[in-house]
Amino acid sequence: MKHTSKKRKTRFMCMLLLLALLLSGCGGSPSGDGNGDNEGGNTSAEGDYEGYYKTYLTASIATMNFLTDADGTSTELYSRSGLRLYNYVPDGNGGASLEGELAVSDPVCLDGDAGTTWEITLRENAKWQNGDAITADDFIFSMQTALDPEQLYTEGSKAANGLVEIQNAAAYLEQYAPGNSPVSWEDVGIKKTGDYTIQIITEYKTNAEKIKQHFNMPSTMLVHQATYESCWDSSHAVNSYGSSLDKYMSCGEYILTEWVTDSKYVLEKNPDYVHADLIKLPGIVYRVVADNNTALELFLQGELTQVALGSAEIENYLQDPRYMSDPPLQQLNVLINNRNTDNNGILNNLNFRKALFYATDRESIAALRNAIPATYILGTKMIVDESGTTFRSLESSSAYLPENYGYDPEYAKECYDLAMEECGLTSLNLTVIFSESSPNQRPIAEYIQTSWKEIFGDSFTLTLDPKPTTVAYSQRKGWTSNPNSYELAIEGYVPVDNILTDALKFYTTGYPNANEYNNNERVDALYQEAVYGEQALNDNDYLISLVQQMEQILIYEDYITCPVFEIPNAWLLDEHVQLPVTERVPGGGWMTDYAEFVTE
Amino acid sequence: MAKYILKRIAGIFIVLFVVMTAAFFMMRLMPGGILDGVEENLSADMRDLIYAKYNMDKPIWEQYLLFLKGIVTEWDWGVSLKLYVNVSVWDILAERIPITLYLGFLSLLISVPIGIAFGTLAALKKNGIVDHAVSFLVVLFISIPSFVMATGLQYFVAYKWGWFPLIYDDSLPRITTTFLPVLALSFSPIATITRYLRAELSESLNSDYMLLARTKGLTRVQATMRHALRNSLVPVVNVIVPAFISIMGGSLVVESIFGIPGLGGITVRSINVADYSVTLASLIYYTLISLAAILLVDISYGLIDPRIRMGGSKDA
Amino acid sequence: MHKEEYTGLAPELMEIPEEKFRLVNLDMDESDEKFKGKPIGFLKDAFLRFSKNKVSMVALAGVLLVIFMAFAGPAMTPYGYNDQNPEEANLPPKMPGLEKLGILDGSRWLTSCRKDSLDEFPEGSILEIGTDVEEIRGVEVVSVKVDYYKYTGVEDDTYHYFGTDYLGRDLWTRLWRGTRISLLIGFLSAITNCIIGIIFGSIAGYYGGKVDMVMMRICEVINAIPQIVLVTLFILYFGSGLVSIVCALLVQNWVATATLIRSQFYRYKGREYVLAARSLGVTDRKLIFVHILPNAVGPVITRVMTAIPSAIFTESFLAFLGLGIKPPETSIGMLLADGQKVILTYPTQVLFPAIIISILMVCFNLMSNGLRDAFDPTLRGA
Repeated sequence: MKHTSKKRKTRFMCMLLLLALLLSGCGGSPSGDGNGDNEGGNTSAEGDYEGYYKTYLTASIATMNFLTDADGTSTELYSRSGLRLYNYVPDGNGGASLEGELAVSDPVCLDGDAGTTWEITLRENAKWQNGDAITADDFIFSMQTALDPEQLYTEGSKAANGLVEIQNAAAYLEQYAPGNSPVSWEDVGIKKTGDYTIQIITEYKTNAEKIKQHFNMPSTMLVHQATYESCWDSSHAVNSYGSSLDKYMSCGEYILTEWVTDSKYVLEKNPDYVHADLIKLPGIVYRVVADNNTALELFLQGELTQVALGSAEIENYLQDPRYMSDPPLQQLNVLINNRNTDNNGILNNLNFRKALFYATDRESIAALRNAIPATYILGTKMIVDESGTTFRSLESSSAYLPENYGYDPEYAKECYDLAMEECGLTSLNLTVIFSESSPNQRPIAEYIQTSWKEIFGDSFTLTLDPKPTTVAYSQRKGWTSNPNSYELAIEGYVPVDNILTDALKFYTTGYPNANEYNNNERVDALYQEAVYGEQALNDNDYLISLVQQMEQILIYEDYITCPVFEIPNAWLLDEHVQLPVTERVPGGGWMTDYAEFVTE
Repeated sequence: MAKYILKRIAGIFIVLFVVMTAAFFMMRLMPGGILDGVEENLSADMRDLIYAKYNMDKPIWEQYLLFLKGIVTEWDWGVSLKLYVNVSVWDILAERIPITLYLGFLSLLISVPIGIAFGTLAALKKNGIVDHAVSFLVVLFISIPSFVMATGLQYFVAYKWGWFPLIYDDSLPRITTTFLPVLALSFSPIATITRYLRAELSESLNSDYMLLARTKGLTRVQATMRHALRNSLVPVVNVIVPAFISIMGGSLVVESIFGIPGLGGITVRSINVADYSVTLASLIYYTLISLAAILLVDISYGLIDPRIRMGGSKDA
Repeated sequence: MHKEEYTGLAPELMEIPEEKFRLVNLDMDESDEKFKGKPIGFLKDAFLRFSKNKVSMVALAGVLLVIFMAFAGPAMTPYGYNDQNPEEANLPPKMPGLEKLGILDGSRWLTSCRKDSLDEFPEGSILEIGTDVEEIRGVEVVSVKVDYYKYTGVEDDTYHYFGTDYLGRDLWTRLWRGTRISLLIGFLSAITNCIIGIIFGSIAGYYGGKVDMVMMRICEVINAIPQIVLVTLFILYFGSGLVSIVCALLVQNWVATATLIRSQFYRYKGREYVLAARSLGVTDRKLIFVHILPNAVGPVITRVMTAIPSAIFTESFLAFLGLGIKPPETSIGMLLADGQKVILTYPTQVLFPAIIISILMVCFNLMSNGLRDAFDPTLRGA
């Protein structure tokens, strides 16, 4: 008896061991991920990318298909391996400008004063990674794919009317919606007029600069036809272009050569690139490092060439010669749902919103996070023209901003008492929702919880309600169907930095996905004038004054939202890197893709 | 025995089915849609069209049936809607499962023998210095939460002393690059197993048959190894399952800190961005693994302790 | 054995006549010995055994000390747990007595300070200048140890025993307050866990057969879902907050206890004394709770004792993922999670919560060792 049971036990143990070894052996080899990458030539197997620029992403990339990339994680990767008509190029003197990448030169207007028909000539020496030549056909195919009415790529609508409105493009994209009539491709304002020439027809008058900026957007990049067509699934319903290394074709500054899922992506210099002589790096390596601390440790060890700094580290490295500071990308505001009917609609009461605005001690809150206190809508990154002058540095832009960063507790209390009286309330309890994973929103919420209570007195209570990001998002946008979906929230928009009106479009009537209800006719009229008006197109100063008026009305008349601060954007750069530009280029960044390493 | 195994496997499928259905409905009823967080430029028409494309406008029952049909007829688990748009969920999971399993099994493989060794040692030298030292050491290692432990390991061992790479690097041999994460994951199971074995073994050591074994002339160690250990293994085998499940769970944190491209990371991300298809598939996979582990353990009960016949009635 | 070979006795004793032998015990009263001590109950016996174990007593003292501090700690400082003071943000710890010894004196090493800016530092704040001077981009950079309190211009007599967090709240007060919440979550979770698990497990283990099959399937379904997914979904649905978290921890944890009890039942229900009791007519319920269950008590006590810190652990894990209790309330987990994010720059913010949770874990575990020994019926009287 003992023998047999012992034997069974040992046999069982052996089975378990074997199973475990088998499973672990499954992924035994380094390149055993079955991805078709690492083809034979394992030059990178040594793991030492000598001379490569080493950077990182905080999350694994979703796809290389810029049309479906929703969260922008792979932006750098496809931006640097794809081609656009126009892109930022360093001029050799420490600056950079928007020049033709696939296009030879600026677009030419064909119909004079009407300004709606534009011709662009393409370079004839551009090539895909596999040697195929790039012609106007590629461009037309790419735009057709972006606007595919059956695929409905989210980036497609940007390609249709992001900066200029291309004739019938949006209509073509949305033609299958109930109530819309079919539109054929011939009606869309994108035409091929020669092997290397194309024509763009816009709905409204526009200028060359805007066309260049429109075709600088990632959504207008090139898609390789043969690869794309081989990526359809069996029912031709879903296309997986860009989801792995062999389903993607590079043609830009760099070529994507390695893709290790969730771990590493490698770009190598493309010798056939149109400006190949300006590219000095042999390649760029992207690792996936989700944890901030790990990234900083890697940088200090020399494994990374740049690293982003969180609020806590900024103070520590402020004096470090490697410290680089960029204009904040995003601003955080306290959003007020003015459609909320609870509490006798106090959120719709102007005095109450004024009270909230003046009760916020922006300076102190911002100091906690090394941020910039904000009393405005357009952030410090917004520029007014190509020279890089920022909107906020203009004197006229600060003329209407209040003193002391808008912090006036006595006045706030006055407004509060008045508002409570007007709404007939003796006590008030509001809830603020925010994203629990954001490191900046929680300090704001906690700070205002105590400081507002101190100012307003015991009749006021603020409850905090942290939520996962998606839940908070849908609650914020849900007021359109349920007016009481939220009361206060903390969030901010992210406008494009070189388009002034982009920051204000969120506050126009009828903007889909707005955070609150906007219905100011004067603002709408000013916005129409600024975006579509002819004077605004030609006279930049006029445009600036329109924008200033809008900002003034929105914040200092309607108090539609309560700005708090702009999130700092600082990073460390390895001291051996020489950047091609001496100052940050709005729209182009620091152009690290043109950087080079200098040894002491 | 074979009939019992077949019955249990059928049971597993039923459980999986129940879990799948429950999870499907729960995910669909969750607040948050698939387009949240995407650039706020979409017109209402675009949004409706996109929903229609993914069958989101149909009633839930229909969606569920379509989903089941997809799995049964084509092994189509759907397509990721947000994380890796248009990529098949099965492909996403298949790429990431091997490394997570590798971490989990390796960690279990080293922690079980070490745990048993420590536990036996502590029970034999009970209440002596060795017992207290082992208990204390083992408890100390698990009393620090896994993410702090992982960060600490990374900071001291990888960063300060440079013995191991900081994050996962596929160009280095796999054993070097996964050493620290596996170590971080193993502390907890070692402690649990040591603890339980010590408790069980010390109880068995007081039994009569041990006395008999000693009077027969066996040394303490021999008697322990041949008799007491087998009896004590039953609850310990029972504890291996939660240990394994906790490894799978703990790997979420460890994977993110050490940058390991595994399943844990993608599960958490998919929950956070409400990518239903990936979450669902991931959930079912984890369920399957733990059920399989439970089944293995239950089978081994019968092998190790003949007194126990699972499923027997109260009249023994 | 032959007489000649036995050499034990002296020869003269080998020839003793029969009359010399006298029966001794003929008249004596034979009775059992009276018990030397009084009979004591099971619990008292267990407690006695427990108190003899030095390590367990120390562990118990540790737990009681932490519990005491959780209630008395916040009263020891003039700060409230939610007193925000942005000017005093991120200060290192400073204790009145220990600062003379050089630890916990409110100092911090600032890396990356430019050598030429050292005179701009506030008066008296520089304590030590590091010896390694690096040159980066032509600028000399050095590490400096500063008295951070003077450096940030805080008033002279402020003491923060454990330092402050990102909003300037005193961490000593917050930590003890957080311990309160964590302990509450732990105890609630463990006790409910225990009760539900015992009832469920004993019924499943005792009756066996179909009842067992169904109950175990239910357990499997619940247990099969990975904890983190289940808890996350739970909290996404019901919102975060104390009650949610306790419920979320409950939903799965009782299954482990139930499985344990069930397997113990399977071990013991075949024993003879159970058969004997049943043949005497003892009801099922009494059999379960009075006869079989006390045998299972040993591992269960261990389980409960480890369930408390494990609940605290899980809660801290949730906080790390961002699913903790609602601010401004805090728990050890949330403090750990916040501290872990800045571990490179402000390591003390994670140090103290980690120490407290370690102490709790160590003490609970050592105590559970002792309790298990104390409640072991086979050691009774030992």
